[in-house]
Amino acid sequence: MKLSELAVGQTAEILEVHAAPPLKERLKRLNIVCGGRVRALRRAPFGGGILLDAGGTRLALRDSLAATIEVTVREEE
Amino acid sequence: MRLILVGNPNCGKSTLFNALTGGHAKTGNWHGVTVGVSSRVADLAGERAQIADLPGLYSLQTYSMEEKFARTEIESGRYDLAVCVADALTLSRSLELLSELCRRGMRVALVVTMRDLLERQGGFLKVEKLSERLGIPVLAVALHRRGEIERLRIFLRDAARGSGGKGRAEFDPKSVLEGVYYAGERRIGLPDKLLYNPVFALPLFSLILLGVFFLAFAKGMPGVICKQACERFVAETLGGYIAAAVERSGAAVAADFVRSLCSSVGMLVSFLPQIALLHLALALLEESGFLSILAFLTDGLFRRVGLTGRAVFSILMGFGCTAAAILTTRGLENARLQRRVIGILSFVSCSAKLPVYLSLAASFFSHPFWAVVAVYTAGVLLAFAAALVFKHFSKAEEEFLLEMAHLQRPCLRLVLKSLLFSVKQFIMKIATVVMAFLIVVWFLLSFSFSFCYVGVGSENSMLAVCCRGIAYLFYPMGIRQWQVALSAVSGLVAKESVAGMLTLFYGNDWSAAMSAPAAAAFSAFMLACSPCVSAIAASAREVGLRRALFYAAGQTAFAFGLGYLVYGLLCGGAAVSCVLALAAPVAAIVLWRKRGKRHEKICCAQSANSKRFHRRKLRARLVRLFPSSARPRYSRLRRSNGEQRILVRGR
Repeated sequence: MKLSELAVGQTAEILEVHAAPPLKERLKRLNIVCGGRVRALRRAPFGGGILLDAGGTRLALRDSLAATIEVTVREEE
Repeated sequence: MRLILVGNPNCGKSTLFNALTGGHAKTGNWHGVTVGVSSRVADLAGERAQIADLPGLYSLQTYSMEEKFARTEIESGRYDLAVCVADALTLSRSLELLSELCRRGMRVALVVTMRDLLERQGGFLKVEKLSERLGIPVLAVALHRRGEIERLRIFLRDAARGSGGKGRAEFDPKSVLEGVYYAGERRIGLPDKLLYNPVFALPLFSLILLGVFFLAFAKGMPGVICKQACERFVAETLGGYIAAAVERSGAAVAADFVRSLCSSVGMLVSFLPQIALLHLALALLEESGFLSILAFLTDGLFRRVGLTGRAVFSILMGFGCTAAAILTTRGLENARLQRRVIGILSFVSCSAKLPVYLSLAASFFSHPFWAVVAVYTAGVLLAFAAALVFKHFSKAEEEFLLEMAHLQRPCLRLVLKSLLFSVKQFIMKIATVVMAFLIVVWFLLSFSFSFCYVGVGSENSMLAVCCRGIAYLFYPMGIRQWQVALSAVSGLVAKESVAGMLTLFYGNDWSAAMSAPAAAAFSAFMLACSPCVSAIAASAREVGLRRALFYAAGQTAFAFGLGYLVYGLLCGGAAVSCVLALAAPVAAIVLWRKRGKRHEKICCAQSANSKRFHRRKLRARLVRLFPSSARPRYSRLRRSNGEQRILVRGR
């Protein structure tokens, strides 16, 4: 599934990032890498983006960007 | 000795820089505050060193605009030591940047900031062990505590003198930290829960803004009381005293001059308490970290007008000073977005326009507070409308990615320091640029071409003869006097001078200058007209001179149009407004029909794409039913693919 479809409170493992190279590098530095874990914290109102916790870093992503990231839901340990 | 501060955004580089050098680099608790390189001399425990502050960067493979500035500076090779500044809460990420620096063969030292936050979260960092493993000097500091700066100075001196090593060229950031660092658990407290909640946070933000406005502008509130006291002191007591002294010495013209200058300057200085209150609120918002939450919560709104949530930083800064706000636009995602935000920033009223609104409101409206609120709201709405227009020229979907700042209680010392700095700048500007301008204008106004003294406002003075032409431009706004026209034009030098000059001509009550509808039209004109020279220069640096001039001309033309419209509406009264109120929906429906037909046509031709067109139509109406797709939009496809376009037209 896509990261943009993740429900609030769910934890997921990142499978693939389909962003353009400079953006991909930036995402990597913000802990959005293949194999990394993210948790959806909140959704923004007015059709805005999603707030994530990625390895201690809090990130806001717009839906169109989140849709380029493939994830799979994992149970929290 | 030359040192450079390198690190991730919002890790405290500028705070460190200010503490070391006593500088006034702008600080704030959000990502991308610093956008340019600034450099100052510091005393490092007995040794002089040149320290340079850079915009934050995540890695040397740059992505955004301000990162490019930072990389060029790092690669210039002019620095003896790179001080890698790292946030204690996200240390592992900063180490990747550190390893990049090491690989380039730079001498490096590591300073870990926000040690106090780490301790509060229950984390730890063993500094000696980390230093041993990395092979470079390491120091952990809590900058807001006393005595820490001295430790930092000694550390930097020793590091620069020789103990700062090149470090191991290759290390794995994860394994290096094993056993020496633990980030602790991020506790989600009540402020986090509340402020991230849109139902609470957005009304709270509006309330804060309204509250600040109320404190500053409503009758009987501290802002207004301080203003009156200030004005009485400078204009009457001080001005009267000096003028009387000059008059006693027998120079009547000079006394005249002193009196009018003091009343203008006093009137401007009297706005200091209100402007300071506005700046205080902005500084508190910036330091608390609430702005990045606001950017996240409002991104959905900004997306609809073709911007990103980051624009919220620039717009809020725009309430302070447009030139400073234009500088912050470098932190935006790309040059296209930057151009658009610069284009709309002039509609966000800067604090220098405040004296004009307030004096106009005080002269004409019984409730000045609501008049000022209305003007500010209208400005923001205009900015959004302008963004919507710009959006139609380019349909590319923007990306938004923002790291959230840690929420923290604003450090009072830092807030007061930045407040004092902006107050000082305001006074400096009045005492230099505006005062000099007023003196020149007073001279040109008081003397005729044969250098005879004719008195301020006389029809025979040099400026009066030259300026009658400009007044015609303001006729449709209901302004018949060239003095007002001249004041409006003088706003190009500095917005403060508009109010200063009107006071020069009319004193404190401007009701002699124009009628009430004309005052409303004049407010609208001031709201929309191009910003001052320094803001135009700032935008020329960012987008090029030609484009900056084009923006300024466009904004001024629009401002005239808006002024005429407002005056026409208010004076034409019921008749005009009825006609317009009927015409607007009719025009909207006609346009809608036309658009709908075009869509229908295309949809018939390309049935496979009908779904996508439907979506596009929805988007055009600003309604969102589906999440936007990552696929290229059809409009762009059509433009790049000639065949398809012919097919559509052929049918």
